[in-house]
Formats: sequence, structure tokens, C-alpha cells
Amino acid sequence: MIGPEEVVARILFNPQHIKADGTVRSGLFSPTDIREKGVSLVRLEHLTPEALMAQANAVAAKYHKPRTAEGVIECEAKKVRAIFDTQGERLLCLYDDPTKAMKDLPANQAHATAIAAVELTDADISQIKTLLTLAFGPLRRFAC
Amino acid sequence: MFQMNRTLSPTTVTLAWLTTVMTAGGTTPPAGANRAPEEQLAPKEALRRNDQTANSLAQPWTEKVFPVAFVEAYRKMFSFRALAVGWDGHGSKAILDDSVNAALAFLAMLPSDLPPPEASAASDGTVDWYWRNGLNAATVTFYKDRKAAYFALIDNSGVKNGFKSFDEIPAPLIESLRQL
Repeated sequence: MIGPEEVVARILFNPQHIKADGTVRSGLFSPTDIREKGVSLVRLEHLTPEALMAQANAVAAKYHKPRTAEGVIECEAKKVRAIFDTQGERLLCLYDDPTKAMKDLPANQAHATAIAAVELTDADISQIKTLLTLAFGPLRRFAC
Repeated sequence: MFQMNRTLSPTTVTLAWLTTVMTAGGTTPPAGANRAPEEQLAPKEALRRNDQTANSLAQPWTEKVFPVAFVEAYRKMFSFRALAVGWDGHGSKAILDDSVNAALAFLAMLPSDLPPPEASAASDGTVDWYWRNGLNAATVTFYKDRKAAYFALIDNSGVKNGFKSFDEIPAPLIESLRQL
């Protein structure tokens, strides 16, 4: 179970989502991911830096044109869970979601997913995008 | 203020196309219809498509005046049309021309005293305008079929709604953006 104080992170691969000051653009969080697929995250406490890097490199290699992972942005779990609609209903749930090894990807015991907890309107999506963009800190680049 | 003229500089091409979109109520430019499954178009190809767009405009277009401060936002948003399938990793979609058209039309309607937004693209083909000032922020997201939605957070209080782009910008959104 992911505790409220636990830090979850999103690995970034595309410089398009990163501004010059290291903060991210709202487009990083796509409506389809929020509604259907889930926003893919990792639990940093459960990964060594080497395992995080290996995971990031494996995902980066799957890009149409292979990329280098840029780094991670981080946020406390409670901030992801603190997005409510006007009726006080939570809009996102965040849960532990370990993944098995697949063809090109190693298993990831530290994987977590944030996804819609209720049926979302387009305005709810804009709210989630805004608040996630505010909640996640600036990019922490991987050491070269 | 920035004044469009009929010289086809890159900025003018962008703005002339936008104005045509607004006049026609949402015509889709022809350039994005058949994107190859590549990450991003080569600059020469993107330029060629811009030229095609300019040549395909239903002239004469009306002239449009808007703040110089918004020009960079226009350019960035327009550039997203070159993002093709796969631009943001496995399964990512090309940026929807409909979304970009709607976002540009929205920007043209934005009062000139508001701060310029930043353009952003998502892996499912949608685009955003985003504003931030400290802990105040706002996002307007544009989908296909002229659908759009906004959320603005000002002093810990949020306003949100969906709307049809190309119509008026919702008054609560403008009011919130003025407080950013």
C-alpha cells in the first residue's frame, strides 16, 4: 500500500514536456491516460537508483526513435489523492501496481498507477492536469 | 500590437491560416491528414506543409490584430501539427489538427490584457493552453469536434466547465485569468 507521505515519481523521456526551468508542461498528463490507461508512476523507495535507471533505459529504448531518459519528477502520494470534485468525491486513485517482465521490459515491482476513480468530465480532466502539474516538482535529471 | 499583412512570412502564414479558420468556423487545414508514422517531420517537410496550408487558404482573408506577446504561443501551438504518430513514445497519437485549430482560434479571442499562455501537447493528440503564477494556475484543454474544457485555480478556489471552442470564451475563465 502506498502511504500518504510516500514519494511517487514519473520518469520523463520527452524534452517536449520539460520547460527551461525544469518544471513540466500540462501536456505530460494526457486525458486518455488519466481516464483509461492510468498515469504510470514509480515508488522511489522500492527501487535502487540502478534499478530505476535500468527501467528508464528499457522504456526509452521502446520509443519509435530510441531516447535517453531525462530524469524524474516527484510528488507525495497524498497530493495525487487530494484532487476532489465539487461534491467532495475523489477524482484520482493511486495504487501499487507491480508489473511483470514483458518482451522488452524488466519486471517493475515499484510500479504504481494513478487513474480516474470516477467517471470524469472534460472539466475534471482539466482540473487533474492543472493540479498534477502543480503538484509534481521540477525535473531531477539522471546522472550521466 | 502585431499587425498581419499579406507578405507570407512564417508568422503571417500562421496568423493568416488562423484567421481563415475563424472566418470559416473551423475548417481543417489539409496538411495533417496523412502523417507518416514517424516521430517528427523534418523541418523541410514541415515548411512545405506550411506552404501548402498558406496556398490552400480561401483568400482573401481578413486581417487580424493581436498582441505581440501571444506570437510565441501561436508559433509553439502551430508547431505541434508536425508531431506525428509515435512522437511521445509507443502508442502516442499525432496531434489533432482539430485541437490545434481550436486552440489557435481560442487564443485569437483572448483579451489582450491577459498573460500569454504556454502551449502544451499530450500523447493522445489533445493540446492545452496553460497559465501559472505561483500556486495559481489554469488549463484549457482542446479535443476533437470543437470540444474544450477549462479549470482555473485562484487562491485555492477552482472554477471549471466544458465549452465549445470557436464560441465565446467563458466569462468565468476570463475573470479567473485576470486574477492570475
